[in-house]
Amino acid sequence: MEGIILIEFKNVSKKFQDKYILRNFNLKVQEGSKTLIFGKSGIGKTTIFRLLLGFIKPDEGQLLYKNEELNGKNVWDLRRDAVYIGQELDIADGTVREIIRTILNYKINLKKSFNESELLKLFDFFELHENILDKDFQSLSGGEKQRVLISIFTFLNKKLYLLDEITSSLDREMKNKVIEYLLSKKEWTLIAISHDQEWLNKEGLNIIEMGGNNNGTYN
Amino acid sequence: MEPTTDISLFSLAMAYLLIFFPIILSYIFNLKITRDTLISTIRMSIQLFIMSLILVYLFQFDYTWLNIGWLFFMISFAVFRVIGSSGLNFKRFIWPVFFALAISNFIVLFYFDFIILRLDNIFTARYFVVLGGMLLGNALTGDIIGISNFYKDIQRNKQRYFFALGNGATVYEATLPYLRNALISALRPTIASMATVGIVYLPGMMTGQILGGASPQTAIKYQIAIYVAILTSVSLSVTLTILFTMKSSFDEYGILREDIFKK
Repeated sequence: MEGIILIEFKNVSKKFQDKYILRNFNLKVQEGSKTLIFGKSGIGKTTIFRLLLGFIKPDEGQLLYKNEELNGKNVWDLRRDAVYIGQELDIADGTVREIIRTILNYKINLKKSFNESELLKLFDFFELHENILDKDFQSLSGGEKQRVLISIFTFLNKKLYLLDEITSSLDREMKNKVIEYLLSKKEWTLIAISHDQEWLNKEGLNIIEMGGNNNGTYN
Repeated sequence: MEPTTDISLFSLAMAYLLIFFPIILSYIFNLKITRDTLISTIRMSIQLFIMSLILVYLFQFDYTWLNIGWLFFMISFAVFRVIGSSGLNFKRFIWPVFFALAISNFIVLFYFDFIILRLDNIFTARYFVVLGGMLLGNALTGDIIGISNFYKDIQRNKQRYFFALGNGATVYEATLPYLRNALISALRPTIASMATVGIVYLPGMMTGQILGGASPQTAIKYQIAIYVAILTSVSLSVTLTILFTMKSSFDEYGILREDIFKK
């Protein structure tokens, strides 16, 4: 595969209270590639995103973004290009519409004009009723929250998608639909964390299997 | 108008006698606040006694610079109370909180003395020190609620903050919901008391003026003006405190520093 290396983990380790939660992790992500970090919960998968987004710092090893070590400056470039949906879906108060407005009001998104019908098309595709716009986000089910967020960030069309267990609360059919949709977006660089079997055996997906030794390699 | 009836030392002793009721209740229900009640009563008495002596001199001399200096002393004391009561790190917060309280209270106080009361000398102790203390006292309570809510909320609801940061928000954009909540909780007590004033209770300032011989009409006008001034001073203090403290409370990655909380 050819292309620019966007993200690189070089022997990255992270300790929590003197115990390794991630050890000698290696990963190369090319622009436009789709990567799945697969494995059971509690083996440091989420730590990978936290490190990448600069929420925590590695104890050992190097983390590169566009061939430059991640630091207090370029981490903001990365975040501006990124979509981050974590496992914790308690992300804000208010209705779906209010949350959309908040996100659109970030300086980075100001160029993007809000086109409701475009968003509603996405809602429809992910089998959400349009009246969800005026519902309180907290009152939605886990699966609805996941689909709402996918719709919003698809609408925003960013470069780097970091999705942590984004399909966990969906039914089987919807899992496949969402996965196939995400993989069909050629321009997106996608890193997904999941333990859903539905991600496996999909075309064009680099799979990093994480086992008990917290070690990942690029294949 | 006749002067307010003075309280003789004997009468004051009678007033202190009332303290036995809460103490007996505390004993019966095992509230464990007997010691705190007594200490607070003693502190209150000493502080107010000293204050009365100082006020006598401030009123007598009425030097502009002395009055301004005294207000700065009260602000410094408030700064320690705000940081101490909100469980935050003194070193990091002392100057930002000082500037926030000083700027917001001076602005509101000048407005009150100059625009509302149209005083010839806005620094005269009778208005400057007394109203300054009144504004500052309310700003202090609001500020404690405001900044402790702000930082503890970010700490407690990290995932919300990280969601915003991870999707390209700046620190200011990501903290906006927390600022909003902090302001609401800081202003709520004042707004609530404004809604019940006059019916459920008479506020201290108004009571004091009426006891002092002012007409109820004058007293309510002062009360209205001071309430609005308090709202302004609380919202300004909380906003400025948060804005001024934010610069040093987040690292270059936009992550809340661990050491902003008192160990």
